[in-house]
Amino acid sequence: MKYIVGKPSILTAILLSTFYSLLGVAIYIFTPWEGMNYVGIVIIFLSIFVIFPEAACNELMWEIDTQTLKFTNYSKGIDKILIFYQQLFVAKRFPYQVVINLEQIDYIAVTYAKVPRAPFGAIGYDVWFNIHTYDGSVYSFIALTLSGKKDFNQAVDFMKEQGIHFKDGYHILDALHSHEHLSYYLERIDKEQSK
Amino acid sequence: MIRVSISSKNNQIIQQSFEQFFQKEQLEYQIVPYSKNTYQDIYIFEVQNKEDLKLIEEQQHFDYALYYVIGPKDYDLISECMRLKVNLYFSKESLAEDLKKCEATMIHDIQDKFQYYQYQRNGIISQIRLSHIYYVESLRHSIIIHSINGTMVERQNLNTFLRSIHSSSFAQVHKSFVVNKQWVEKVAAKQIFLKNGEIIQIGRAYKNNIQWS
Repeated sequence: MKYIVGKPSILTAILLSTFYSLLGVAIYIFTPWEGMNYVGIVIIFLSIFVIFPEAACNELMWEIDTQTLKFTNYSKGIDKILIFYQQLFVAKRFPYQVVINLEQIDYIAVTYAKVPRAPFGAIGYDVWFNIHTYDGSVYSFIALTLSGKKDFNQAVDFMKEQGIHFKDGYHILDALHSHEHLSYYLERIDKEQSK
Repeated sequence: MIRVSISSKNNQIIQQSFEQFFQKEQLEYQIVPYSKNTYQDIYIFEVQNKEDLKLIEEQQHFDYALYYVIGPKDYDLISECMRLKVNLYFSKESLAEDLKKCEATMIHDIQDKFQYYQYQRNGIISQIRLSHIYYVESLRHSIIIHSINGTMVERQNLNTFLRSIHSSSFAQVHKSFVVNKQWVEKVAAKQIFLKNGEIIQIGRAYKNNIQWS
């Protein structure tokens, strides 16, 4: 049994790749200048071999099973493309950056970070997990960004079932189970903290 | 962050003495009262007699932790503490002087056991205790850090890793492997046996690096 938070969005990747491919085809067919035909071919090539892998590989992803907690965060396009091909031809499974044995986890501290969001400089909130292990090592990663609340809650409940202790000073996990939008809740908490 | 736990009746005096030491050495620390079921880096016990040593006996002994005892100048107590693998014994009457005398040993032990390897990229920040890394493997353009907690992949090479840690505990034994000497069980002609059961190949060009064995 395992739970994954942040699954790859294949449908978005297909739509994006198709859009750029059609653009390439349109340039190839409807441009009278012969030199632009090559541009069309390059766009088709890029949309299949670059845009599709980048869109299909999720930036943030973590997985929990009965033995391990695995997570990754590939924010650079080149990393995502390399990971996609590595998964396809070499590893045959998603290569997570960090794998932690559950039996080594002392507790997980849940916290948040205020981050600017594109495109208009708006402020958003990321939920962070700080994993403290018995030997004193600390692993921190973004556990939740904008979407995936349902998967996140299921994964956290499963972790609790596995005996992992959470230190949730801001009651973020409770807020995620309520109907209130997490951003509004964290904004309220943030204002209270800054008073 | 060094996690310190104190079990003492005169907690405040002892805590102040150790806080002064940590602050002087600019070490990040957190002192909490002793509790049997928590995991700490340094355990400090104040004892009066042999009865008090039961607490240390009952405490699970971790290789990674340091155990300090503060007690009277009593030969029997000190020898009993040695049997219990206590790292340092401080005299209660001259705690400040003893702390000063043992400063170098304490700093060495702290650096040896509690030094971190820090990694920060994108949405991941990791602080891994160097003493708990078994070995580091190089694979294509990445390194894989194998530790007691699991594994971590990072895009860099072994030389950069070795330069960044500034630790004499690690030695390159193969083009693709760096091992932590603390975790070496046995060295054979072509292989290194680690305490966690794994076997690492020795590269011909790196045989000179294995001088600790």
